[in-house]
Amino acid sequence: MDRFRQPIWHVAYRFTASPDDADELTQDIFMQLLRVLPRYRPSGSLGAWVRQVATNAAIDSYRRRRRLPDFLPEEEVAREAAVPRRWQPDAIVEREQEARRVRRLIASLQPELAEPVMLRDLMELSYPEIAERLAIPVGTVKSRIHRGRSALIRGRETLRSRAREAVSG
Amino acid sequence: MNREFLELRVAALAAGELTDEEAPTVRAELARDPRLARMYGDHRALQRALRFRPEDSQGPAADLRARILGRTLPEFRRLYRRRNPFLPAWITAAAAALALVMVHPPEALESLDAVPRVTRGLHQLRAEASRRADRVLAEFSVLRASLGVAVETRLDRMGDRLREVERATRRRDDANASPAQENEEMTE
Repeated sequence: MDRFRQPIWHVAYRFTASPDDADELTQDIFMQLLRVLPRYRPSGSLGAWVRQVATNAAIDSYRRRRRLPDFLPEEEVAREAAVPRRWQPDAIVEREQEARRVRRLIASLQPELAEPVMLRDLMELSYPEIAERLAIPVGTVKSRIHRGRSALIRGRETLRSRAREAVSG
Repeated sequence: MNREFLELRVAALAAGELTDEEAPTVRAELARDPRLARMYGDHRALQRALRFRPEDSQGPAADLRARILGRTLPEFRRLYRRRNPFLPAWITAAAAALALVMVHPPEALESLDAVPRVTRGLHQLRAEASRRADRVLAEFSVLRASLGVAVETRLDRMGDRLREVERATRRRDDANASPAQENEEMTE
């Protein structure tokens, strides 16, 4: 457990962009590892297997979050936008907040778009690896990733518009 | 260049997925088309958010190890608690061994060898029961004590059954021997 705790936490952080959420997700990943441990085959690399289980568990957590009611309520957006400029967080914190917003947007995508985007942009898998994992052609992977990224850009623009409205309204 | 294909290339450039040979063509298009340039900016911002990684100073909480253990240990015990699937068969073998030892004193066991047509299974059971009886009595005397009345009843029944088998075998042998003896008497 000690050997993989840090690497798994880093995988969890890629998916959450929040230390607290990453801690929670790490615990979920270890629970999942425990359940699927009998399926490990010693012929493969243990590290790669653990990484794959961690990635799958993180993606599953996104699927569960999709079923929750809107978890980025407009009130929260308005609250963030209403903070006076001189009190606004510094660049690092702002980047972290933006990273978290984007990850929440990913959860709102259709699964067929969200999973390729997560595997490519969060886990940095190659296109052939993603194609093999999802059992779809490489061309389809590229197409879905592009559609997913475009949907995320539209989602970010929508959030910014709501924030501007909240401030001006 | 086809518009849709161009937009794909712009997104790929923002994600650092174009080669050094492919990038200049797309950059030239960006310089010509402000809308494409804005799209490139949006994709770059998205990639910065997606590729955001923790600072070197950030890491798991100090108590994360304890929290992981707190959640996983009970689950580990529940999932992987040692179960002996052979216990029922072992109990049966032990009960049989105890039956033979308690119901048939050792000298009586020898008499079974004299009983003709004892089934092969009974021989194997006797040998196995003897071996296991020694092991069981030596290592699990507490288990024997805890079996209680239920086992004693079962042992009694097994003992009765063995005695019946022994009597039936003896009667069959006597029956087989009798016609031969009569024939012998007649010829004399």
